[in-house]
Amino acid sequence: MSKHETKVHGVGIGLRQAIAEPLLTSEPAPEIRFVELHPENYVERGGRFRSMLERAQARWPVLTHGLTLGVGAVEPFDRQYVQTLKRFLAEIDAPWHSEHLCFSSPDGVMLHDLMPLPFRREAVDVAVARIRELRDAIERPVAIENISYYAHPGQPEMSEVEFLLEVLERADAKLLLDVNNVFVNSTNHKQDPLSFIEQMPLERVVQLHVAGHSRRDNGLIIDTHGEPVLDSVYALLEKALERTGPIPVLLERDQNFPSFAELRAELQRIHAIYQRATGATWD
Amino acid sequence: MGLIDLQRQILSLCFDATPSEASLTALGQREAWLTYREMIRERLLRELRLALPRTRALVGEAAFVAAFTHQLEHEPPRERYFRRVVSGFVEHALPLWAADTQLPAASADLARYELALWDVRDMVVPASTLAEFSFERVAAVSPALRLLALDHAVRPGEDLSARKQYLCVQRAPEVQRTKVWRLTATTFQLLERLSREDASVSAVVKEVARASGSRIDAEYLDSLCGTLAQFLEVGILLGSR
Repeated sequence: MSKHETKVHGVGIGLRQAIAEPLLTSEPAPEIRFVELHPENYVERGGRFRSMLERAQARWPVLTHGLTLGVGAVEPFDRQYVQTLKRFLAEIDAPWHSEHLCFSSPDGVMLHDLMPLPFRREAVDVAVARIRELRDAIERPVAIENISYYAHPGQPEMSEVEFLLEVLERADAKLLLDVNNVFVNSTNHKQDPLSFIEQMPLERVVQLHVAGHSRRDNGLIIDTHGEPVLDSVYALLEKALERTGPIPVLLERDQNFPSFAELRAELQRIHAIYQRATGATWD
Repeated sequence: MGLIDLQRQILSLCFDATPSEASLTALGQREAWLTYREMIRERLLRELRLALPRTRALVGEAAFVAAFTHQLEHEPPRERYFRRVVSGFVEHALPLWAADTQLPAASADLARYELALWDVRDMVVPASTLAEFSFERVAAVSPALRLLALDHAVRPGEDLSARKQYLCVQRAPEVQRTKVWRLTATTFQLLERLSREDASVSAVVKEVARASGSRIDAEYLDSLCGTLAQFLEVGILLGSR
């Protein structure tokens, strides 16, 4: 298994073109211990992206987070892409690979978004099959992320927590727990975020995500990754870390980028929370 | 409704020109589904606007968005890599714009030119580890380029007037940036055939000369060798296969 499996910890940030230069030329700092990238943006691509990857690899462990293999896909995955992904993960020595508990490409049409699955038995069966298929193909652990959802398709047969737990258990999958998504869903659907966190199986959680969100005119909170993290999400992160212990925490920022100094301040705040919640003492 | 039918219903809701009222009613939470539709379409459109700024300015926002709307409904994106949604859009839009006599004549050529720049800019430039170039073997043409035969002058600073031109848009290996080479009709034909045919260079040269009515004499060969040497020097040709 990956040499990084026991080494990735602390706080990291998504490797994005908009912040690549200040990130890759920054002084070593305790609040940046790893980076995460979307493989779809790097495979079969040279130029700037290849250069960004090589420079990042020279400094930090690299985690991978897919965008297009939503495990709610009814049809089997595109084998050619999965093999491409497998080679990429081997190349960067990824300790695991994460995807989303969603669907995104019915009949091969790419929506390029993370669409909600119904909380139903049929969707559990499909997700379990796809996660096993992916894990067998890439020959490394698969983690799935709980998504933000703004509507539920049709009538549910179970709660979101029950749905997620059943998928994780039956697929024997890891969990990438997105704390901001828990907050967004809890706000939009009037649930208790702390109760959600408390019901997650600690032994399966390998990574946490935090991000900012925005509110639309119709009242919905949207997981935009384009705003600063709110105090209430920081508080939830601290509760999650108190339960999970020192696992990697990623700050996701995908648009509306502030100055790198402002991002560093956010990372430093997450780092302080990390140390306080887990007792980790490295500098 | 089964899972796949539910997913197809959501797909239609997002990509049909007009969202189905029946689907919105069946799915419930109307505002939230319309938010999904708006976010998905806006994300795709943002990428197209980023990739094709001059095309968008030339055809106008209305025609640009109309082509996008038409594509989503009739030939929705199947490209896994988000950066490649641009090529699907341009392929779909070209015949629509060509058929629209109200649009500037250079619209399709400008779109093809901007797409070539977009496609090439982050292509993988392979290391040249191939056999030495030989006229008796198949040429290895760099995959990091696009060849364009255009009817309008569309490069920046040009006036979009009707003018036949042949371009090679290349991701150059040494500098890791895009270069645009102007070709003659003959060198375009030569490079285009070398790119797609599994024949030896000498066979392709003879075919191109015959097609253009040229006689292969000393002068022709001298010019050809100079061109091929330049292609090898700048990485358009990588050697032989």
